[in-house]
Amino acid sequence: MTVLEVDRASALAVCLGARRSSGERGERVSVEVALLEPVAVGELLLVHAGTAIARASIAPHASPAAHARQERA
Amino acid sequence: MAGLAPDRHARVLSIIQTARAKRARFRDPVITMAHGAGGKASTALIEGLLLPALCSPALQQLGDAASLDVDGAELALTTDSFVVRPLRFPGGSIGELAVNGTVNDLAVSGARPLALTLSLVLEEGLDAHELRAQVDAIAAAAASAGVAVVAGDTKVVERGHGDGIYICTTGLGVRDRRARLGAERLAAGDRILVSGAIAEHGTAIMLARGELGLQADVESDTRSLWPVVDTLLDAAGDGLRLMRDPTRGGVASALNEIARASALGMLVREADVPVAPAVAGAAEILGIDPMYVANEGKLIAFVAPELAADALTALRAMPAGEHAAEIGEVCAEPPGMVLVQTAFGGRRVMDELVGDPLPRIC
Amino acid sequence: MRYVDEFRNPQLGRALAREILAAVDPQRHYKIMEVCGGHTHAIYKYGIDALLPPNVELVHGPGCPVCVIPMGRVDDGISLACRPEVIFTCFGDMLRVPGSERTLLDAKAQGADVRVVYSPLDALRIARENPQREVVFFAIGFETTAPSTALTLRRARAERVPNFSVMCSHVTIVPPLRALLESPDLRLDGFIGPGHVASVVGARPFAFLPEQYRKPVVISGFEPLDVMQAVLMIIRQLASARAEVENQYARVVAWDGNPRALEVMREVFELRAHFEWRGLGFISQSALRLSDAYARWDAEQRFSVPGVRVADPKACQCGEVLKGVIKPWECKVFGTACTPERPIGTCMVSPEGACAAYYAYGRHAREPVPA
Repeated sequence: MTVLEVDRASALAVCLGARRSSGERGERVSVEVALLEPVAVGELLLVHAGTAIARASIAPHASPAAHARQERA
Repeated sequence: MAGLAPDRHARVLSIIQTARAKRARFRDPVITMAHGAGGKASTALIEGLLLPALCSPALQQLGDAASLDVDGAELALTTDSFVVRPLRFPGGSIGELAVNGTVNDLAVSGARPLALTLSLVLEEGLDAHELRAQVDAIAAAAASAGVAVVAGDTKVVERGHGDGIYICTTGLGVRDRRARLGAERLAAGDRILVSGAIAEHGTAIMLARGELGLQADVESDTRSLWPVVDTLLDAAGDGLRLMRDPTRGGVASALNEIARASALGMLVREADVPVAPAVAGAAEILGIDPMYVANEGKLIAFVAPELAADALTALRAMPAGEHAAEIGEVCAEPPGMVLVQTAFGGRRVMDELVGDPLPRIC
Repeated sequence: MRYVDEFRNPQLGRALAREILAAVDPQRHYKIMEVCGGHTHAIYKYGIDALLPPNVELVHGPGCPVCVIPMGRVDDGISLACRPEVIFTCFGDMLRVPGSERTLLDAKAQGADVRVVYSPLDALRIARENPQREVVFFAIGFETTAPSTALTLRRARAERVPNFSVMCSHVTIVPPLRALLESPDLRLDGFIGPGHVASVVGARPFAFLPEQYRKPVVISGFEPLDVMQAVLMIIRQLASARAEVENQYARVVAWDGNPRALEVMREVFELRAHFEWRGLGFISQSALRLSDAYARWDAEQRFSVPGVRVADPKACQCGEVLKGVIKPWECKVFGTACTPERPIGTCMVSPEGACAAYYAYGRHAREPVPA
């Protein structure tokens, strides 16, 4: 998911769900980010059961091809 | 699949096939939410308990509305009840749902909706403003759908016994002369059309309940389908074999029911099924398949192949019809089953729902 | 208008399918196990196995942490849910898992206050909002969901929430894998490693598979292209007689995982000496319970539960199905005593378990897709 807003005091972030290109409105969910702090707006996170458990270099839901494209870039 | 013991394999498959072909038996000791979800448990309840006890030729058809011949006039009669929570949700309210849901059962049976009766079961403590708002919504929806509310009843139950409002309706319509619908008319090669993007209503309800901490811009699609049916009857006439409004249990359940009733197979092309991005995203987060989520303003239509293109053009020309699509076709094999060609290219069976489409995490 | 996801490109899928076909030895039959419910689901949902050559078989492993919960433990959960003061919270997956007599869904129908949550944090919120009730969260899952439970417990402790407790049924991924591999009749050639578990624990814990058992393991993501690429990588390892840990999911998984998550888990949890896995029997050190520091939030200490061990019927052959030794229909109780409506073992409990899937789809389970 992509981070939309961060509330440092509560270690919660509001995230934009799943696969979205920038600028598209999508579903918003509140996510616990204490395991990855500090997180910044725009970062891509892997979220499970309401908690962000890993950072993603590109979207977790991105294809290996997309990853390869990014590595070459 | 040449296995180690092909005889045993064949024997086991035939045991399963016999078990699956058996008429559903109703053996549960208590009613659970699964019985209301539109899947296997609901089927067991209907075919195992209700049908055997209440059998009549009209009921046996298990259509969305019953056909009654009254002195030469072909009437359609249907009943429905609405128990949704919350009473108001993005895109509508229980009142509109009650009118449109009843009207739609008639419409997809090829009958022009004429009149509704309305029974209200109100819970003690219901706010009068809320009731007024719902009644206004019912009046507006009825006017918009061109039906009259001709009879009604009101009961009040004690606090704690009613969820605010329950609405029960009966709908009366007259069969349109253009319509010749029935599962027996389906044939291999018939195309499956859907009148717009799916899964909006059910998703909006789940989000509106607010239990799952997720917000998204999804609205219920509740509306009368009669204009869509009218258009389809014009465009496809005799080539329109069957329609269904996929409410609880979603498109997948409706297709499975029809596959079983017609003993034909179906192939759905997942990539062609229209789903709005917000709905797809919310469903993904919740771990729910949009194919099993309720719709309240969409229909599935089975159309003869030579008329499918015209029917689709007509659907797309309707307001809010731009996402209408052809999503698959009827096949001879495998009988009674619905297969899906996944967007990725693989193939699998789309089975009947077992219970409520529950959010999954693991 | 269908939201076409560019990351599930069917042409790339077909290209990978061709590469896999080119890489396999036509004389050899490959059995590759995936051990994560998420992979089982992806393979089923995208029909991936239909895209593989007929001699490459995907075996669904003990990766459904819900389905391996023994009946006695479900009964314990149900007994808690039936207490009038308790609000019992759990993930949706848990509702239909059978106990010895009924499911949580049945208990709900009979009046128990059972609520589905998406996160343990939701359960904690329910506790704050209902101070006069006792909220119990039935915690399940592998190391993927354990961090979420751990953080929730930390919050509960920091905020001194008195009416919240956790019934911990988290399990760990490595011990059941070892148990499978210790078996002399194992028929598996390689493993698709669980990408989300690995994002927490890292790729390192899976090194024992190649090092001690000479089996390739490729940690994989969950998109269909990920899974197919992982299959290709395993086939290539086998073709060149290699056995290594490879990380196909490098965009998310690091060799050492998420150290902070592991630290939080170490603080909140301890390993149980033994835990009984449905269909697999007792496995040492394979499950978590709350550490002493969190005893006050341990539902099993706060309440007394029946704690009765309900054994799987002797006829259950799930272990052999999971090891790839027998096919579902070769199990003596498949389709007769063990059906999706009345399941005995984990393979039938999970809707995507090998047996449940085969029961539902029969001969259509593996029809190859025309190229």
